[in-house]
Amino acid sequence: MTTSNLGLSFLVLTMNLSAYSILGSIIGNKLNNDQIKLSSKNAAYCTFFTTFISAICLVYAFVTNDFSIKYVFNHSNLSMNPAYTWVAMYAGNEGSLLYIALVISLSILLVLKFKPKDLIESEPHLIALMSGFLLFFISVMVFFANPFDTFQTNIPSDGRGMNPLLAHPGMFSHPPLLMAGLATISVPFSLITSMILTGTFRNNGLDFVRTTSLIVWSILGVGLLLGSWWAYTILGWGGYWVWDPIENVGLMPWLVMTAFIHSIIVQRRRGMFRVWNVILIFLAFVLAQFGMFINRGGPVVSVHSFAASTLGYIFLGFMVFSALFCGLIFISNYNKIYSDNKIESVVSREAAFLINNFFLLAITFVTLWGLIFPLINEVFYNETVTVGAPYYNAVNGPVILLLLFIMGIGPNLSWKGTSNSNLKTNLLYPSIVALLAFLIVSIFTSKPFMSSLAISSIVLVLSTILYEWFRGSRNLARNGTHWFYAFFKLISNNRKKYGGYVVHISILLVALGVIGINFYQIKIDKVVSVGERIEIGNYKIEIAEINENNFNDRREKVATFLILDSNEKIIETLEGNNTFYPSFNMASIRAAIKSSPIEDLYIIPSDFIDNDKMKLIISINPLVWWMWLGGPIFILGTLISLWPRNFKL
Amino acid sequence: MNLIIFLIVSIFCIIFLLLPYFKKNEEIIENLAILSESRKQRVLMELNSELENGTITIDQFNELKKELFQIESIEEYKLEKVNIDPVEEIIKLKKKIND
Repeated sequence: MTTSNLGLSFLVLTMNLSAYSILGSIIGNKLNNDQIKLSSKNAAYCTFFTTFISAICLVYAFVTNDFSIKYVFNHSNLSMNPAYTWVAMYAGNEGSLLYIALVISLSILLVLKFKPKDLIESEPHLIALMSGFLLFFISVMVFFANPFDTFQTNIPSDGRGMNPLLAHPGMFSHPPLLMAGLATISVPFSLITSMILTGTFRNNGLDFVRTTSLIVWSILGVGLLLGSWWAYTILGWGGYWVWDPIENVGLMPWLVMTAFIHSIIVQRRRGMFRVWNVILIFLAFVLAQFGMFINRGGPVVSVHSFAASTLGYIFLGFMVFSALFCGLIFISNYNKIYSDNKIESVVSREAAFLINNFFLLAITFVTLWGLIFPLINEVFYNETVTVGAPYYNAVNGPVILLLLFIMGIGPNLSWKGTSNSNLKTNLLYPSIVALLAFLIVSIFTSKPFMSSLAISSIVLVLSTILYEWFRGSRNLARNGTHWFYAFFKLISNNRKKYGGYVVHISILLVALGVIGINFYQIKIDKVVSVGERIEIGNYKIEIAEINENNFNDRREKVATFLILDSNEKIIETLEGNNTFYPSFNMASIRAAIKSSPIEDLYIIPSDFIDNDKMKLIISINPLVWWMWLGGPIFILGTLISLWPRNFKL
Repeated sequence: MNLIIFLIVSIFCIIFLLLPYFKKNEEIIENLAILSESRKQRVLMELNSELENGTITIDQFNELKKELFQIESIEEYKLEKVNIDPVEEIIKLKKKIND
């Protein structure tokens, strides 16, 4: 039995286990037979181990350069950096499907293991739904996209290699996180659906739903941010965010999940927004399937499409099935979901959450419309239309600004209604600080009104957070407790809320970077020769040398730049490269970046004209550094929110 | 070697699947009312924190606390309905009438 046979055999075994798990759960539940139910649960546990062995087989094939497997041949070669052979598994369609199946099976294992006892009634439905989702991916692999398909004759001695754009440190984190985030939206979806189906959509289990949603949401968020950083360092993707279809299909479920993790707080606290929460999680799940469809043979062209295949119609079918299934569940169980609690005041926390839901959905639908508009035009009018960044920036920009504003105001409003004195206590000082920031930016910079408004919104959110922390710590410190300890006690007493505040700070940092690039960027394009100098901002850039290196699979041109300050002192030496891969007929361009909290000096050797001449795109990108700092702070905030309650300071 | 791995794992899976049919399930179902109480305490702690830093007033705190107890008592009632078997329900009802 070869490695490929072993891998495929385990896939088939997983398929059978999943099918047994679904049938067992349904029959066991119908007959109320605990033995059948437990047996199907055990089958669901087993799927992780069998999928894991299958994935190990594929990784082993990559590491041992087993080019008899077509997938290994297409995504690896002998001259590839050995580190990438460990992750080349998800560089294409078939392997990434196996990776997704592995993530789903792991999530089944973890959910069944750590699920609270509150959810005992809905367990059979939960198993059936999650195993059903796994069964879909495994079946696609077994019948249509076998990652273990082999050459019968003429086994090649070397492979084609991995797509050059994927040979980047980001390959170790961005694709696995993004795929895992999209796949695991099935977890909160299955939890909520199983609760609805068993008539147990009550408060019990909501904490677990929120915990899993938060984990899924943070995985997706970090994945998106890492993708942004990756795209920033490689020219081929046009910058940190260009509203490319593949970027958008990752963003949309994240936006809806953002609304969901906020909205579910209202249900937990006040028993409201039940309909909202069901709609949001159903929408997030369907959008995740839409993302799979677009990414795997969808009709939209994207520079990020690495898993493109001819399987588009299968994923389209699954997406349509998911949408119909959700619609059916919603309509047939509406009476069980609906709650007649009403919002008592528009100046209340729950009203702020409602507005937050509307804004996030507005951004989602604007993005979705931009994505499908070219398709509609092509189908109905036979016209080719491109919807680019200007549309998204113009429409989404103001909504994002309003969202920032709500982020500042909302957490300071009280449940049920906020008194005037409360409003004054919580918002007076932060509003004054934000107003001052607005005036300072408006007076001292000649930038558009929107930039001043955006910066003052950031200041408003930050100052409300800091002011609340100050007030809380001061109150706790009144009985003689040290301020430092009081602050940590404050955070510890309400980790969910204050962890959320830390996440809000990370969002502010990302927003700061976006504002820096969009409103304050300086950019020049120039053809330069070796020895020539260019001035931009406070920098002088000297082109020191251009070197050419030839490898088996690529030709690499490396440009060395000396960065001088205004006193002609060399402050840094940077390198940028332009590498051409003949077998892919593709160039990969790495930017030379000098990064600091104030600004990034960003040099792109976009084209080498001859041995000593090249075309450069140079820009100064203010505040981008803060955007990347947002990543670790985002993770920190999520960890604070998720930290177990029995851990006390 | 690969065949042996496959056979061992397959046999293990089959045994694991068949195990529940031969072994009695002794999983103890926790009292769901205790879980409801713990949920109540968690939310109360958060409300306390909001009271401490002045986001809500004492009146709002009391009102929200009352509402929380109401929501949880409805939950507990629903849970009771799920967990109590019909015979037990009749006994409870008779007990109530006698009281």
